[in-house]
Amino acid sequence: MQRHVRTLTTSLLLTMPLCAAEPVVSRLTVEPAAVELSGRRQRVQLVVSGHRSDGSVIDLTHQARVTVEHRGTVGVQRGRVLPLANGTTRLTISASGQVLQLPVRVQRLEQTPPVSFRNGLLASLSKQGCNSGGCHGSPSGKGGFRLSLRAFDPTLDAQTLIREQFARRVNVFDPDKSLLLRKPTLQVAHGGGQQLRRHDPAYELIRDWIADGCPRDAEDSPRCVRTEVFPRDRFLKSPAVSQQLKVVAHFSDGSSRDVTHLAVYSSSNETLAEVDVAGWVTGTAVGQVGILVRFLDQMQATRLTFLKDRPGFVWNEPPVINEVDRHTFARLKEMQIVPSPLLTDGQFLRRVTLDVTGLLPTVKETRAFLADRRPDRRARLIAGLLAGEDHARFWAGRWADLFRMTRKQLGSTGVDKFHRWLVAAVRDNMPYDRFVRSLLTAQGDTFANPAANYYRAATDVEDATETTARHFLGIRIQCAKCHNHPYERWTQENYYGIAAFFNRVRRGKPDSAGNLVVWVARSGEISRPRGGNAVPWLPLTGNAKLPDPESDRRLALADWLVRKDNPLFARVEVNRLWSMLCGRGIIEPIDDFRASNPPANPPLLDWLAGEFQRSDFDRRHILSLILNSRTYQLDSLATDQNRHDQQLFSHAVAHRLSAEQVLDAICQVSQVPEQFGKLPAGTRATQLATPEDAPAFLRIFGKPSRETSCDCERQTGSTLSQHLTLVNGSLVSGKITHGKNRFRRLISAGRGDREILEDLYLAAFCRLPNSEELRVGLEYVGGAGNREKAHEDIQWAVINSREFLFRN
Amino acid sequence: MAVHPRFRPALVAVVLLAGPGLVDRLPAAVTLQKLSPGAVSPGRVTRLTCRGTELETARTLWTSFPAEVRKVSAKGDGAGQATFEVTLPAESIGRGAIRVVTDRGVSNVRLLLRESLTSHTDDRPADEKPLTLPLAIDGSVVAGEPDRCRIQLKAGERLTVDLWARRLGSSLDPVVRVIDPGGRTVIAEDDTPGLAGDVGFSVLAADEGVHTVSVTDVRRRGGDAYRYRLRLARYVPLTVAYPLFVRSGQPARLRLLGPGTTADRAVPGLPAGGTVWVGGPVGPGGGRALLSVQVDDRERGVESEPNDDGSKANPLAAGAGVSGLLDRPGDRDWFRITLKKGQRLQLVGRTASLGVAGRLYMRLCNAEGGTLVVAPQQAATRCVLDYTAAADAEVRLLVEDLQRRGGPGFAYHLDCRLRTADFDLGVAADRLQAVAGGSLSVKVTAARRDFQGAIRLSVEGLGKNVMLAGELIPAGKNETTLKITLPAGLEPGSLASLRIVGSGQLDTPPVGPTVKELSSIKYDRGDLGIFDDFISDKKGGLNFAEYDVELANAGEYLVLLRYAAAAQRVAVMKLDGRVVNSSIMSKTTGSWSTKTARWFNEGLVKFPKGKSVLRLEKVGVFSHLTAIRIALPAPRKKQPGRVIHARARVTVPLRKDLGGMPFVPRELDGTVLLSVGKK
Repeated sequence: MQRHVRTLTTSLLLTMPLCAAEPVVSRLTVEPAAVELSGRRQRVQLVVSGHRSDGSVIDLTHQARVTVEHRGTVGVQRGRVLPLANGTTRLTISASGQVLQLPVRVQRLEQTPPVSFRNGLLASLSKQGCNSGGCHGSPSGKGGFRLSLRAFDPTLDAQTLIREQFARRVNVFDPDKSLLLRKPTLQVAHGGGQQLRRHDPAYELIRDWIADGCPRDAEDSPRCVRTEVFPRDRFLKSPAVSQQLKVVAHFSDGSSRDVTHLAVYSSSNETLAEVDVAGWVTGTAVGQVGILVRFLDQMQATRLTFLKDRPGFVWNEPPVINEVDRHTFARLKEMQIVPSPLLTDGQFLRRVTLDVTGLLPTVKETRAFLADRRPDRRARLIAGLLAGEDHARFWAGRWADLFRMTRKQLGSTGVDKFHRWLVAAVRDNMPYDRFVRSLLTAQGDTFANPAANYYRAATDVEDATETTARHFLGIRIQCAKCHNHPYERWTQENYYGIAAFFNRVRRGKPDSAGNLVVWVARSGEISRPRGGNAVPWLPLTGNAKLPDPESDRRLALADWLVRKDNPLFARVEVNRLWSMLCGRGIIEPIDDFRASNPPANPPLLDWLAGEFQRSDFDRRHILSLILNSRTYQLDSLATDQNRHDQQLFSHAVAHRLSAEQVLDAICQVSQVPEQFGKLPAGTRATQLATPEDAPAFLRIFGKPSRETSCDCERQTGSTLSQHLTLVNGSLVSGKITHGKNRFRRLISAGRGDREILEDLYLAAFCRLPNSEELRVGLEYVGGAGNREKAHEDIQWAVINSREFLFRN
Repeated sequence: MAVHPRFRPALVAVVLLAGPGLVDRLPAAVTLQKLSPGAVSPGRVTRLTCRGTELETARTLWTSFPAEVRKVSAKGDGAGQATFEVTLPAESIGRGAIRVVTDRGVSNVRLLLRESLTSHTDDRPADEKPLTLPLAIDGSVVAGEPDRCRIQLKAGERLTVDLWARRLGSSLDPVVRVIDPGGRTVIAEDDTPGLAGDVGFSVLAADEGVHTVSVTDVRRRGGDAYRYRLRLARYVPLTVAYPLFVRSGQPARLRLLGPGTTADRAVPGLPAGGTVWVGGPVGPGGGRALLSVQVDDRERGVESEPNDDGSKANPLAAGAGVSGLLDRPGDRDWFRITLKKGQRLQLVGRTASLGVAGRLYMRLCNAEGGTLVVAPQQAATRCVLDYTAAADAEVRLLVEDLQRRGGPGFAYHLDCRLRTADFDLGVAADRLQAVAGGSLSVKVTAARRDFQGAIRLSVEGLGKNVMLAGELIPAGKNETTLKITLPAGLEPGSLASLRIVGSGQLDTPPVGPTVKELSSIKYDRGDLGIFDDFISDKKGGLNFAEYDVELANAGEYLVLLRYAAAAQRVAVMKLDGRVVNSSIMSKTTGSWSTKTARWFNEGLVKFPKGKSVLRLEKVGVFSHLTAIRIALPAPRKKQPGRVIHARARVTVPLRKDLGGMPFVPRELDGTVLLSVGKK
């Protein structure tokens, strides 16, 4: 149930005094431009907008005064027009000194059609939340009464409502005495409390449906095929922080009608905005929110951005290096957030090297970069890192996580071959469309064609469907396997439609060497759970073209997926790249693209996706654009001007190094490499093909065991075990006491303590120690009885420092 | 000096009298670990150095190919080294196998190439002058590091790379990269289809300069076992010699096929039973593609186009073999086969095991195009389709690449036969040692296909006086330990190639006089009452019935069961706890009514004297059994019954020696080498 609430914050926002420079409303518009009402149950929601002198728009629906020219024709309540008598009239709407007139026609009140089972009764039950997952829509129902979740199975619901329990839920002779009405209105005990009131529009619909004799819909009765929400995207600047929504449903017979009163609303972020049952949104804080609007199985979302003038805000005009900055800064300026300053060269070197290669730069590389005075030194560094083998190995590992690359899953040799294939794909900068096509259409021996391991990790149709949707469409479609997706427009039909592309994929048994063949059967259809074969389906753009019934359907899927009019493919990947570099996606989580989860910066995401397509899906180009932007190179230290911002990239996101990065960094700083089982000496943690080769240290720091195909399996938080491992674990201890570690080599070479400290700081932090750090360090070594033990302590302290363990 | 036999040892048993040395200490761990170079040159003398253990008493080499071998030196104390001069006939090319023959036994087998490319080693200094084509490099990779060689190429010059590792029994799973003078990777290749995991390709150099060819193991492993021979030349690559089989003793004309090129090659009549190698045209400066052809004594055909749809299907007779070519992507080959009701058709398609790319998809259809059966994809080695004809009919077979690929490398071979019961045999060792006049034991295993009878083993290659014990693999059993006592004529120091052959009586002997007859056990079916005539249990699970059988004499008796069955309900027969037949009651009588019950002969069982327990068991319900009869087999008069044979293979031990090689060379697979020592 939606709540009729207004928070204290809202009240405060609304009661804030208007500043002197508040722009005036110069024009009114209203949606719709004319009102047509047919039958006594129809309602039309008005949305009155005021256009202000500065170009902004405010919602005046609830402030506007509405008068009816011929009283008795229609009534108007909170902007909702209700029919009273047949005839025509005009509404006069006045607000903020502006006046507007709207024609109205009411007809066929006496010919009100029966309530549609699907579009009226089930819509009403959905509106009241009766068939939600927490109530009677749960798999076992509630109190012996089970409805399909969010009305996805009308046949089952009709049976339940009309026939089950000897039809005791409805009383066609005295509809108001029906259990279906008496329970939710609490006339008899109801475990779910009061969910319906007599004045609710849903009450009238349910009662009328019962009074009509509980009719079922005819086979050819119109079905809702889409909904429209007004407004789709709006900026609301304090003190104007509320917005009335309007929802129109379009039906299969070409008709349409206002269903604002029957739609269900939810906010993507209730700390930013709340929405009531009537579709009235109220902002409670500054930020962007998506309002999800659901009518039966149709979902739409509208995006609202709440702004507020910040006292003392002065835009500092940061230099724009490329389009990334243009879009990021435009958004920040709009939200009155000042970005942090630029990183120092040393900080930048450490950040970019860690992000691109997973490693720390060497002392030699750091000294050279800090000495470089060329203006394009950062761009040169980026280009060099992206072209290197370390980048390929590190980024291949990220895909390996998603593709669940383990020896258990892919076999001993299979893992190495697939890993090598991924490394080569990154190294050669394989265009992303080709990369994905290679994976999705792969078949043959997994040794000869390592991409076919995609189907070795995804072991069945469901797995392939969900993995593909997650990775390449950014959709978590698994919910739709059993029922229509509760928070998105994906249906079971969609799920099994995608599954039909993978239904013919077959996997042989591994031979003695671990090789396995993947192939595509020439026939076979997948069945929907409720009967009938599923037809291959392509989301958003219609059906697949399948020239030959025996052809590999995956080719059609891949063709569609990489098409430039696919709204998801490019966006999902650039968002993933952005997230890997900036610590947070423009859409977050990165595999959860949905209307109710809007991007933090839509123009930025759109531009990056467009650039990705224009560059023929060149990932390195996108990485280069992001890395070269000032946005990427901003300091992670927040300022007073941007401390509150967590999603608009006004400052960098500091995060702990990944498990592999921590281990490699310790090895680099100590100059004592780690030996991983029987792998060749010199192998780095970031180069490990499988988690089976990983020591316990990496598991403690959250290296995923690759059981799932989700980024979320990698643990990025801090735990007590991690601290204990660093403080007194054998691995760190072994490195700092090693006879040929960094400082002992320098001591053997006759270097002084200052040089040793400087070398350590350059290795660990890409900077020289400041004067205080140097003083303390030298005093500590000088005052200790044992010089080597003192340096061990300093190295231990450096490894355990936040600056070392974090990518700032 | 030893002279190699003129015939392949796999074909004819040969005893080698290999000089005066004696095998005086058994067993000895003679191993051959390293060969240098990795090839011997045809028409020339190649000095071949063998390193391993216990080689100090080396006398000669055993080779799978005709060669003259002269020992140059042998030394060592434990870790030994022996050097030989090997002389090959001028046209001897391809892959071959060798073993070192010492006084202490025979070494493991090692594979090498017979070819004329100049051999280099991989331990040249990095600053050495770049090499020029053609050449070959023998090396082994170090863990985690690529092996590199630098070659000088002109712009537009062809570089053909043919790396042999897996095909020579190496543990190396190679990845080959070619890097141009600018440091850019021109090509990086892992598994080339048809090369068993090895790599072969051809590129044209875009720029003049020093190119680098690097070799690594895909798992980044290394060591002596990760050896390779890298052939670098300018010849135009070829992928297959077609047809894939030629008939022994008859000259044949082969088409050598490659991307965008073909060549013809005439081959003379060849002996059956192995692989013959042919070379492509010699490239500039030398070097040529090495292609293999199988030789046997069957008449085989070649698929003829057009046969892209069922109406143009090629005829194929049971017992025939045919080579086919999927010469373009999407190519389909159709064949038609006439069957009689009840005939069990078996179609076996082969690709990778014959050294060609591709993997087959086979579908059998009826005349209307409806699918009868699709071959399961079980093994890379072959694709097998089984079908039992429900009526007299013509069926059609569709053959295409599993991935619908095609091109000059996509050849296949198809065997069409009527399936009968048979078996395969395997020997646990590829080399044996025994003292003269002494005996040895070796385990022989059977893999049965519908044949449950006894398998009698014999040994060829040791003369008539060889004595065997444990030569019978009893009915229903799958292994025996074969004890071979050498005949007196085998001299100490001699080397023998022996073959172990098994034979089985396919038809059960005719039934003689009845010794005993038993009624079936009565069973209380509970809800249905007591039934007199069959064993059944409505609850499912393991059901069984046991009968005490007391016989006056031990011996082989026929067991006959009388039962009715509307459908097959195959059960197991045990005697005193041992399985003696795992597929009894496999017949049907058209009804479950015991009125239709008939006697069925379930084969010979060896009974002990006195009392024993005969047990019938099955998961689930039985056919409706009414009686059991124990009978003596009647003596055969005219027809001895059909006998099936199989030669024991040494695939398992060879594969172990050859780094897990997926396809063990056929010419090595049927022969066990025996070295004879002094008493």
